[in-house]
Amino acid sequence: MPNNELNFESVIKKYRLSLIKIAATFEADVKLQQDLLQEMSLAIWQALPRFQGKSSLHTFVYRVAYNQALNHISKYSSIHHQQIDDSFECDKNTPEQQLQSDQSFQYMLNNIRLLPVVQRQLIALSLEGISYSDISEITGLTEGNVGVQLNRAKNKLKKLMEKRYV
Amino acid sequence: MSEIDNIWDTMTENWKLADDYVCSGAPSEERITKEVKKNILQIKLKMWVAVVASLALCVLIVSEIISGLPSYADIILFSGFLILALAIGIYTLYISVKSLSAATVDNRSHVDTLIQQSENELKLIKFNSGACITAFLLTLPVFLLVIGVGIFGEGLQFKHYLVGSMTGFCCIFFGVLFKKAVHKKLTVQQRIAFLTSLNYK
Repeated sequence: MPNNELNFESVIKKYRLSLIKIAATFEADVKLQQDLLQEMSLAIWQALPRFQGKSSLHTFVYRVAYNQALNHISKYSSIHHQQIDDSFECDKNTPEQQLQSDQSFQYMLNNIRLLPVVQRQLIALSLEGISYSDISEITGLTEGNVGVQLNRAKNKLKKLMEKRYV
Repeated sequence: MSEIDNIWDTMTENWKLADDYVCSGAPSEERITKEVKKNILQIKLKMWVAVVASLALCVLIVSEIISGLPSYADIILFSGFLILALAIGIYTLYISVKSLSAATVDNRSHVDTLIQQSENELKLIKFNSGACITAFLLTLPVFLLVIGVGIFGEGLQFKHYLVGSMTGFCCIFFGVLFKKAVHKKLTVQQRIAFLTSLNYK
């Protein structure tokens, strides 16, 4: 898409829900999620004039959003780890039952947030339906590494879900 | 199909179906746009205030120098301030441009880019803290001189009070700035350590 056809409002309209979900994978607290969403939106606004159409728009938007999310959590990394530890609770249902429940999305997020940052990023992008080659472009990892890291992340996620089920 | 595949398929389905849940309580598109515009305006305002303040300071120092300073010590002091003001302005601009260009490099990983940006920020903080210490060391002797005149001299005049209070204020101001720079340096170093720990290649 040519640069002059892009405007911030249309980008936000298209990617708002994805950005909210990404923010939720990085922050458990609603207030911090909204702060992160605002920071990501601001970063997209600032970055849009530099978009030259070399990559697809969604790759560009996710790349800027994740860059900002990494910046955000690197600032609050100590607080973040504390929040993860505090939110760790055991579930009464199996992972499969939990995933069928009304709070399934929140249950997923709680588990995803326990993953290391890079794996969290890969899981969220994969859930968004982004291809390996685009994930590679967004994260800077090679395509092969994306596959390896994503498999590890899925295994770890499964173990986390089982660990939390008593 | 393996257990992991089953869980993954259900998760993908849930992720797609979560839009309504996500929408509730989340800010609207209009609100996001409004907040971003407000932030951009604030950033621009701060930038212009800083530019105008720097220019005004430089003009003031230059006009003082042109109108003639009473002693060599004053000329050295004012020249020192002028060099510091210009150097901080130019260096800040240089680092900002460098950070912006680093963010647009396509063949870098994000973490590398962020580490690069943080390292640039660290350089800027080190430079600024050095500048603060230099400014502190420049103003402190003048402040002490005024106190010395007050104690051992024949008495203080209005201009002594004026210069004394100004240099005293500058000493405190640069001291506080230095303390803040040290704190910021620690934060940025922690951030670099955190980002380096993410380097997953």
